[in-house]
Amino acid sequence: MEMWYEKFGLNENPFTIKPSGEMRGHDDKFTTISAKVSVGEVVFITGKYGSGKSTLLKNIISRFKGERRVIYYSCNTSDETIEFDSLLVNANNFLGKLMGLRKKGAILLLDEAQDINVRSLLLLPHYFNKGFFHSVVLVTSKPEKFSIPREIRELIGDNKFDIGEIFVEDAVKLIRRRFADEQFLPDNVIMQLFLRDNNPRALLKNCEDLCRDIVERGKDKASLADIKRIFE
Amino acid sequence: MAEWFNKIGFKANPLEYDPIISKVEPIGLDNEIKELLYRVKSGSIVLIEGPEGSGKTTLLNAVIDKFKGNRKIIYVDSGTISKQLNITELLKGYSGFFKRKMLNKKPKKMILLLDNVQEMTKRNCERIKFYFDQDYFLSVVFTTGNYDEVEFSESLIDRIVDTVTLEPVDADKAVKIVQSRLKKKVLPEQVIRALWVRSGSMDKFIRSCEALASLVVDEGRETAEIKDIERVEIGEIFNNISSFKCVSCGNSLINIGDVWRCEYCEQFCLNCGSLASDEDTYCPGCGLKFEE
Repeated sequence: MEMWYEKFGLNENPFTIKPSGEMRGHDDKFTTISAKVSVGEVVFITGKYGSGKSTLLKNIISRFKGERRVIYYSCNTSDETIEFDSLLVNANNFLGKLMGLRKKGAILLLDEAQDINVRSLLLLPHYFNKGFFHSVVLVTSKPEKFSIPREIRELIGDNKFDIGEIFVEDAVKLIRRRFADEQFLPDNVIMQLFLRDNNPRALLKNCEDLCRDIVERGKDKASLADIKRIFE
Repeated sequence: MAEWFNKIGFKANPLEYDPIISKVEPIGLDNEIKELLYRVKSGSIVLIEGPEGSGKTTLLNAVIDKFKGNRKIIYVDSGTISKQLNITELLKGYSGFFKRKMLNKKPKKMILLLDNVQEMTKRNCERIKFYFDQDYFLSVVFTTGNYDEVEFSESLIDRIVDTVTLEPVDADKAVKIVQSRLKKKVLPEQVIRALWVRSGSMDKFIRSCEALASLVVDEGRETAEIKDIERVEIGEIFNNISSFKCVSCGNSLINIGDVWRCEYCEQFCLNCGSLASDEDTYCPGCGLKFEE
């Protein structure tokens, strides 16, 4: 089976929706967030589906692994209180695990934080203040459903970041870094596609469908008319 | 002994119903298969939705055929495994011995095929999302007969790039399927149609076709006639089918009501088929008094 992107010398789908190593458009924000995590703070991140939260988490995982233990936990998998102790023991090396020691200085990433149960939230400051967690990153797509206790709000302070906003120039940059051929996929086509949903993930998917269609029709350039034909 | 299909020039049973065993080309799903193979190769999460017999497992089978070898495919039927199944452990199981035992490593870029995903726990669905994001899974294909029962989080739903909805099979399609599998031998169109009307499900339909075809071929005839259908009663159909033999002793099972029982290995009520023990004086199912 021949894949459309092989025509461009690529082995993999350039528009995969998997979080990739690079951050789009949020370079400044990411540098700031990364610095906060590095120093050891509690950070609160909001953003809609597909706006880049998982990409950000993946970046933190790859940026800090080797240096510190990174623990990822998705709060929507269970309604029960998070077993912080066993998370910490599991984060330890073999010997530490054997002796039941809790790892100190780990980085905790809490995904879908709006679904965390209240007890876990109340326990969190204790673990943070004792140094078990060097830093904590809370991520949510639904901040309106997330009531944060005062103690945690104080720990967060000004460390609030909304990565939901992405500008059209950033969107073009995101696509360009993955797919450089401006002849085949011109900037104005990317802009037009982006404005349909204002969402990076939707943009990637649409770019894939568009480019695939153009290649399969044997044409050598995507145009605004193609967007109309395929998506409307 | 030559099977009925050997006598008319087939090497394998053209009416094999189980899509995992069947090596017969699927019919009428060419576009769906092409699309699915593209999505799997390019790295996506795909959901296949459709009623029983509409071809869900056939589509999965096409993926298995295309990508088998290289230890890249994980097939799981959530309906047959325990709710306790942990996707992480499953993934580790596909690592080589050294990587798994010594390094606790998981393989990358696997293709996960999950049949009957409505049986999957929410926790496992979230694990799948995470492993997809981290590229342990290159692609994931879910199938379900009932989308309303699936427990996906919104963020997982947002990652599904393509949903394939399969239509239930109608009479025309059923005729096409059987004709193409049998290369238009033995069963004429009106006979197939009559069998379709009599059968309630795809499963039963294919089994009736097989029973009738084998009956006609074994009698040395070339084509079935409408009147032959009368002879393929339910009991007669199932006597030809190995799965309706007792798994312990191999004797044919007896049909009572909706259930099948083995008269050598099981103790049961002859009236309703409920299983009974030595102590029972009355049938636990229908309340009939047992004779000594």
